[in-house]
Amino acid sequence: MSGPMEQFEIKRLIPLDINGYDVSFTNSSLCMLISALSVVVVFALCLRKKTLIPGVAQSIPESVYEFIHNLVLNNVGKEGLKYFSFIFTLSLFIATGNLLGLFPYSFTFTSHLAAVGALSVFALLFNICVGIKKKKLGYLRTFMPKGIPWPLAPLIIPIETISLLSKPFSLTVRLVANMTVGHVMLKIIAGFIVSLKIAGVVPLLFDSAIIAFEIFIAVLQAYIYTILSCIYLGDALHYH
Amino acid sequence: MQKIPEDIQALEKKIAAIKKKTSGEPETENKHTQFSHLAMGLRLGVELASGTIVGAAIGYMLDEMFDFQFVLLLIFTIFGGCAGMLNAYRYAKSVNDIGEK
Repeated sequence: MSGPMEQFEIKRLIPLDINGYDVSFTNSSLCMLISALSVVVVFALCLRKKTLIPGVAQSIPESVYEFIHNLVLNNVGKEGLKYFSFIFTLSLFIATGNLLGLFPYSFTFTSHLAAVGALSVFALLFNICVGIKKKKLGYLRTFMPKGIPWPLAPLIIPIETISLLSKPFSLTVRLVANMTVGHVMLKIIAGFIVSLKIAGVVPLLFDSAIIAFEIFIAVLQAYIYTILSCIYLGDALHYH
Repeated sequence: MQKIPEDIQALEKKIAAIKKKTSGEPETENKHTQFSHLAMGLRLGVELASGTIVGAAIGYMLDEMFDFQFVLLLIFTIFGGCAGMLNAYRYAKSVNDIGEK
């Protein structure tokens, strides 16, 4: 039987090498592609018939849209609505990635530091660009808040810089840890189902309960990721 | 412009009246459940640790670049610890502010 960590192994599906860099199309890339495409397909199917009073199918994407719209409005303010499409895309991509990983034989790309880390670093760069665009040189105040005496600058500037850089790290670690732990737990308990024979019903029931809990965690973690991205964007726009 | 039918206008008025009614209601006090306290604690821990790790990583990279052996690693780990504490403090403060409102 395969080990609990084997499910996170990256396998090359289409090996590619450009100038010595490995840019192969892997199972992780495939799942990212499926996750992005499934969002587009589901939204396109649900919004096929557009009516003033939405039906069941139309109300699903509408309520998701409204939910994230309110999230941006409450955490960033009206100014943040300009960047709504970015937050909306990010949260849907992560939510579908988390949920997709729960299917048998699928791959959870959100359990990899490289994938989520790249998204978080991209979000951080986006926030910095937004902050610089809005406040120009005043953005540098983020590293030296008002009211702090200048002799303390050599201490405060590195601390504030690390504080800014650690934000995507904490964002990534939280999501990756939650996803990895959940899947490892599922796999370990599933291992007992066969080996315990008839008594395997107990871990089977336990696993079923964990699956339900994992669906909740998948959505919750995507929500937390979104809300924190909103807060960081709000910080870049309003802080000091 | 398309004219909105009368029954939909009436429905809109009804929705607006209900929204007005519910927006004035105070939020339920039981918002912070035990689970959210656990999440808060976990987040504080992650904030503390991530600051230190990022600080140490920056120190290590600078040491490798300028060949300072371990001096910058030491300094930046301390800075990272401070940054982690600062992040945790800011988060705790924001939770406190929401609680007081």
